[in-house]
Formats: sequence, C-alpha cells, structure tokens
Amino acid sequence: MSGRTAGTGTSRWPVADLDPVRRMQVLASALPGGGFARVRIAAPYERVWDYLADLDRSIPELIGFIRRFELRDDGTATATGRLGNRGRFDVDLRDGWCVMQDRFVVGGFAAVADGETTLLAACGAVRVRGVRRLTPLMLGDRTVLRTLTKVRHKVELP
Amino acid sequence: MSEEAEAGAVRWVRAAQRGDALAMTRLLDELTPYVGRLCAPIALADGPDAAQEALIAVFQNLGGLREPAALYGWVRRIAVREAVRVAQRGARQQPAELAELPAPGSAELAVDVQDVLNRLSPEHRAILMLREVEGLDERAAADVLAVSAGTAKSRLSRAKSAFRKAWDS
Repeated sequence: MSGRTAGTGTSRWPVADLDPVRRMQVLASALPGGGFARVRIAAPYERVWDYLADLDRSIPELIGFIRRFELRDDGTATATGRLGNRGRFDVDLRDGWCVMQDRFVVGGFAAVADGETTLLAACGAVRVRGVRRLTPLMLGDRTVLRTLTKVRHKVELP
Repeated sequence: MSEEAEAGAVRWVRAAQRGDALAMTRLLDELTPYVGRLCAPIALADGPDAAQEALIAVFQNLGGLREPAALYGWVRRIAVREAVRVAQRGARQQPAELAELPAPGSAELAVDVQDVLNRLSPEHRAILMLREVEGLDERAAADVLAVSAGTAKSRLSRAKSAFRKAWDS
C-alpha cells in the first residue's frame, strides 16, 4: 500500500504519495522534447542533496556551458555562460526538489533517500519551440544522464 | 477545495499551458494529493504507479483543457480511469461477492478499510471511492466511469454488498 491513510468521516481510506523523483518524471513528461534520467547513487541522501542544493557551486560544475551561477534570496538567479552571456533564472529549491528556468531552458533535479543510497533524477528541456530541433544534442536523455553521472563522481566516495 | 485554491490552480493551468515549468510544479503540488486520494483506494499497492501515470496523462494533455475551471472534474475522470486500468493490469485482487455498506459514521467504518478494499475488484473499489470519498451521486459517478447510470447503480449495490460480506468474514 502507499503507506498512508486519510480520514473520511470515521473511516480511513488509503492515500498514495508520489516522492520527488516520481514527481520529476511527471514534470519531464510535460516538457516537449526534453530529457529525463534517473540513477541510484551510492551515497546517503544528505550528502547528495547538500551538494546539489549548493547551486552556486554545483551548477557550474555540472552544466558545461555555465561558468557562474548566483542564487539570490528572492528565488532568482543569474547564470553567466562561458562566453559571458547572462540569463536570469527563476528557481524553486526545496528539500529534494529543484526546478530552474529562464526564457530558453528549464532544468530540474529531484532526490529521495533509499536506505544508505539515493535515488536521483533530473530533467532538461528547451522552452523555445524553434530551438527544440537541437534538443537531443543539448538536453536529451543521454545528456541528462551524463549530468547525473557527474553528480555521482562528486558525491560517491572512492 | 477552497475558492482561493481553485483560483490559484486555474492561474497555474494557464501558465503551465504556456510552458511555464514553475507553474507546472505548483500545479503538481496542488494535484498530487488529490490524485493520490483518488487512485489509492482503487489501485491499492499500485497506488503510486497509478497516481504517477494519471498525472503524466494529465500533464501531457493539459494543453487540450480549454476551460481551466473544469480542472478538478477533468483530473478526476483521468485519475479514476488510470487507477482502474493499473489495478486491472496488476490483477492482484479477486472480486468478492456481496450485503450492505456500514452506515457513514458507524463504528465499523472506524477500522481501516484497507483490508476490506483488498478483497474487492477495481471496479467495485472505484464506485465505492467515488461515492464514499468523493461524495458523488450515482449519475456523476457513472459519468466519471463512462458507464450507464444503471451500470453504476448495479456496481454500487454489488460493491456495498461485497464490502459487507468481506467485512463480516
């Protein structure tokens, strides 16, 4: 069962929960031409999420075309590209969940603890219709999987 | 559902239809508990799978929702059908035969209904959930399940009977 019940009158009906990784898969399915990947990381959730949630550090390390990422308290961020170009991102960052978007791209991470390991998912998509032809090169499943592999190398102990 | 929450959901639907991923996230926050309540009594152990598949269907078809104010009825229809489909695919339960549902508020219903639901077919669970959790009348439940009012009435009668029999066993 789903592990939870909800009261209705005096009865208790079961309720299904979706963890952040499942929710990320739903979100990815709604993004046209986007990529999605999921991996199991041999590291505890806290280590994985502490690394990812430090966006100013993790985003430039994980996303090749971003040189600097500066998150502000108001939930916006400025990304500076390798060529000095800048983009303003809106960021929804919570425990186990992060979605970022600017005018052109959207990306997200989600994680859930599974014992001593972590289930980690990510998605990426291009928001501009005409650019989506390039999506498989920029943000397809394999690209997203490569990003998750980078996370693995950052957080798993040798 | 408060009017304020509904108004917020309508606003998020419109933004999500324009491709705003953060609006999709807010909409997902809003709809996930609702879909989870609809799917779990029908799909039981497969409830999370059913809820996930229902939400994927919702979000992939969101662009076709012309009247955002009809969001919850539209989502309910998708969720119930997905839950029945997933439950049938799982084929984990055997239909029971059936007497009567305990009266709302009775001591019998104070006990977890989960074990009893386990013994019912997905179709029985769907009609019971729509009647007892969603509070729909038979006509509205028939509409959600895309069956005739007579079929819904018959299923509900059999479901109540099965519920009672399972309860007594």
